[in-house]
Amino acid sequence: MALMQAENLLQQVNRKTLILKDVNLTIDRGDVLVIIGPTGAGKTTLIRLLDLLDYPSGGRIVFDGVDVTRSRGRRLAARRRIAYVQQKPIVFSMNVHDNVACGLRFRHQKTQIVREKVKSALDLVGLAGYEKRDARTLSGGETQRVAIARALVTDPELLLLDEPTANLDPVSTSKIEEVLADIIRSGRTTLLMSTHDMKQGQRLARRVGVLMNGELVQVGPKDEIFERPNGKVAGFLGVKT
Amino acid sequence: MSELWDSIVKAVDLLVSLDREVYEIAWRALWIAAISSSISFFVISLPLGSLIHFNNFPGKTLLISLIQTLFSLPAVAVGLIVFVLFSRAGPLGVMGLLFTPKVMIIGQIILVTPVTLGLVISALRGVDKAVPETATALGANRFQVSIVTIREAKFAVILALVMGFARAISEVGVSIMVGGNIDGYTRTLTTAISLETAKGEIELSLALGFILIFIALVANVALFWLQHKKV
Repeated sequence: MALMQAENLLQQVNRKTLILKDVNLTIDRGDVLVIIGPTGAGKTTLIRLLDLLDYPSGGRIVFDGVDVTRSRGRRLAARRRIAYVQQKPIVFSMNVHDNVACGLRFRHQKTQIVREKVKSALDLVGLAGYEKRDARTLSGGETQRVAIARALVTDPELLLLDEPTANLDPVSTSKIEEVLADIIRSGRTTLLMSTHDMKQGQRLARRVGVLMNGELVQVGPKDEIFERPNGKVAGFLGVKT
Repeated sequence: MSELWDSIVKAVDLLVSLDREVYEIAWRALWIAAISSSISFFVISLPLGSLIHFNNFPGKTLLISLIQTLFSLPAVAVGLIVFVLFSRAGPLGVMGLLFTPKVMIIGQIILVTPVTLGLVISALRGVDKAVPETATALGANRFQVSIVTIREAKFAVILALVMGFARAISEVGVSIMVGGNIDGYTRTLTTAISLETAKGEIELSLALGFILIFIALVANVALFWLQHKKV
């Protein structure tokens, strides 16, 4: 059974502009799906809908066989099995440990378990020893790694990342990519990531979806997308067909 | 000029000699204002302010404007309304609360709540929208989202409590109208200052005035300390 399905998803603003047009997407357990597309294609809108932060204007979202499109209770239950790393994550006015522990505390986990899981998540993102640091004093790359640790600490079944390296310098980008590659190798979660960096998409993805102007124009294994793109995608990738 | 100086010296003497009457009045004013501002802040303004901030409903902007307009609610007008409500012929007269500290607390809560509520809403509006959104994405329920947001606005939220306390301890209209300024029972700093000044007892008024200023200073220092405290 698919872990998450988006069926005929529509998102509209001001009752006129369609940001997402009839998007159909299936994410299976263990999938590593990278959504690529130009800036303004609707990648963030799609990920926010899949994280159940916004309500779609039309269509249906099914998580693990349950329709989570509207019901508030079901959405919260599903959201607690998903994690989302924003493009520009914010940290709360707390130290690094407490920031990473937030999701666990929302789930009423015991103190000892919180301590162990936070330590292990900080180790994974290379921030061991940062526990007591004021999270607001961290660099952009470190903040992004805190956000990834904060997402991973809850052992999500689905990890959503929205252009996690978009505003970072090459060194920080490379560190984040290493962390993501480790996560993918470990197979601990299903991953959906958006990026406008096609090379990054190629490096990390197993499957690729191309979102252009609110439409998911092609989805498939990465070799298929990059070697046999359809007409619209070929134009975006700069590939001659 | 020397008369004023003599009054100041005598006022300081009353404070230094720990004059029983002075400190009794000060203590009463302090606990009445502390209770009324705490009830207003913790019981009414924090939950109601969160409810108003986190929900969208028709007339929300109008309601917030109304609350802000009530910041300058005249204490005497509140005193008069509470007096009418609790006077023997009034709808709540059977409770027999008029001229007691309890009705002074009720009056002060009515007076202070627009201030604490308005400032709590402003404090929450000042928080980056990404804060509640991040908490939601991390699996927080609506109550947990409110707590995280309040925590992020803690300095501005604490300011609401301090301002509420300052409004309560410095008001005279409600206390004098519904408390009656009864010696040893409902007399507070502001009502005593008003009465003693009218009687020409400047020394006692000044001593009480110094205490009032000192309390305001302590409240502000506490706020400053909290605002500069690390994570």
